[in-house]
This record gives sequence, C-alpha cells and structure tokens, in this order.
Amino acid sequence: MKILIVDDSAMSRKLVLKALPAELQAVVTQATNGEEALAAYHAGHAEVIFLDLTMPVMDGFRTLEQLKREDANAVVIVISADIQPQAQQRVRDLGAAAFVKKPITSEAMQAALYEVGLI
Amino acid sequence: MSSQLANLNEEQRDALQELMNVAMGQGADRLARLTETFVTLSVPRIHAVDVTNTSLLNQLTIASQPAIITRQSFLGRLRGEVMVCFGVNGADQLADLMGYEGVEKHSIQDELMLDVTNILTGACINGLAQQVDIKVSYGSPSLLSRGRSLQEVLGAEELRGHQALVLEIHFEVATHSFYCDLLVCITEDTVGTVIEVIDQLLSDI
Repeated sequence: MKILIVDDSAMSRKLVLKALPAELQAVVTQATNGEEALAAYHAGHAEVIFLDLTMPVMDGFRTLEQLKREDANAVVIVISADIQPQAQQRVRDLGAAAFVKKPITSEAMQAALYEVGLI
Repeated sequence: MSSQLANLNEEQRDALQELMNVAMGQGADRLARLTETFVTLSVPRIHAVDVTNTSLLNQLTIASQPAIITRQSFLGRLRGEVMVCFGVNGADQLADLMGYEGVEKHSIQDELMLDVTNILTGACINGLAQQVDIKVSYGSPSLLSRGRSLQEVLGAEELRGHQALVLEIHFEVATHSFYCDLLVCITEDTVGTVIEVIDQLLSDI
C-alpha cells in the first residue's frame, strides 16, 4: 500500500510512521506541506494520505479540497491538533474519510484504518 | 546569559514546536467553546530568546506594538509565566465576540481577558506538561499592562533568570478581528527539564 504522510513537523511524521501497524505492507512517501503533497499524489505515490491541517505554504483544508476536487475517491485521513468540532466537521464535509487527534497513538491509527476499511 | 533553549538543534526545536502545536490546539478548542465561534490557528512558531536581550525582542512582531498584556504564573518542575498579548482593541473585540453591549461591555472587559488568559495558559502549559508527564499548578491571572509594548514591559519587569519560549501563535476569530499572541517564559533552572523530556521523547520514536 502506498502511503503519503503530510505534516510540516518531522517528529509528527515519525509518530505516524510508528503508529502504522507492523503488518501493513506500506511504501511511505513524506511531504511537508500541501503543495508537496499534491505533487506526490500526482506522481502516483499515494493510495492513502495522512494529512495535517495546520501547515505553511498550503494548509490541510486547502489540500484536502484540491485532492477531492481532482479525485473524489482519494482516501484522506486527517491527523490534527486542531480538535475544534467545527474543524472536524469541516474536514468531514470536504470528504476526509476519518479524523484523528494529535498526538496519534497506535490504537487511534488502528481505529482510523478500520473505519476506512483498510484493515 | 547562556541559553539552552537558543541552542536547541533542529530536531529538538521541531519536537518542541509540535508539542506546543498540540497544546495550542486544545487552547483553540477551549476558546472556540467559550466564544461559540471557529478559531483559526496559525502555524505555531517558536523562538528561544533571552527576555532581557532587547535586540532579540526587536525582531518579534508582537514586541514593539502597543498591547494589552496579561500574565499568569505556573509552578512545579516547570516554572515560569505566560503573558498573553491582546491588540489595543482586543478587550473591545472580545466583549463584542461574547455578545456584551453598552455599559456592561466596558465593565466586563478585564474579566474576559483574564478568563481568556486562564484558558490559554491552562491549555498551553497543561498541554505541554501532560505530554511530558509533568504536573504544574497555576497562580491567578492578572492584568500586567495596558497600552505599552511588550518590549517596554519586559524592560520594566526585569525578568532576569528567565529564558523565554516565544510562542508566536495567532488565535483569530476572523468575523470579529479578535486575535492574541502568547509569550511563554520558563525559568532558567527548569529549562533543562524541557530539554531532557524532548530528548527522551525523540529517543523513543
């Protein structure tokens, strides 16, 4: 499975990697903002995207909107510290498959992957 | 003054910024619930400065602008204080945001700013402390200055012995032009605690 992790924080990207189930055969690409994420997606590096919301250059809301406009079937799991109910609703409305609060745990990752039918 | 915080390497700085990002997400959530609005969070930026070094303070956007500044101390293995800088019209905007009008709008302003200070300080420091498994307690929030710049206030207060994490985070309620910025000052003798914990966290990933 090709996974794209999008977050401006290197530590946060590492935490996502660490939370992925060991049995998941993943080829992982990383991006630090929305523009890099879109480029990676266009290059075919992502079947599942883990997307942060608060990022420089192009934030997660805009990235999600653009991704879903280009590909309504894109599977996007938002992982964010912005836990306001309005933020969670907004990303659901934009088409995110799941929302996970930071800091991510293995259990939350399992639940999100289960929710979107990947495990 | 030696500054351990200023000497953080890129990995440590990134980790600290991410810890603060998570903490401030909780702050935004609490502020949003208080004001019944959606709060826009900026990307947090952290600078480590010696608060008595004027040239460094000059580089910060929030330092030279007149502001309403509140403060609240925190105690424990992590000690220091948080200052919240509201714009000069911040008190008015906050009262508007909360739906106050007329005479009541003016009488309630200080109380509202102290409430917001308490919420943001609690969320920020608790958010950090919980992630690094440290317990902290808090003093009462108070109004520090009205109309002076942060640079003037810090000069007058002589916060020697502190190193500052300037958490440049912009909480904004666009519909009411309300915003505020935080300055987190951690005492020099407890800065090592933060760095130890960051290193531990990084080694565990």
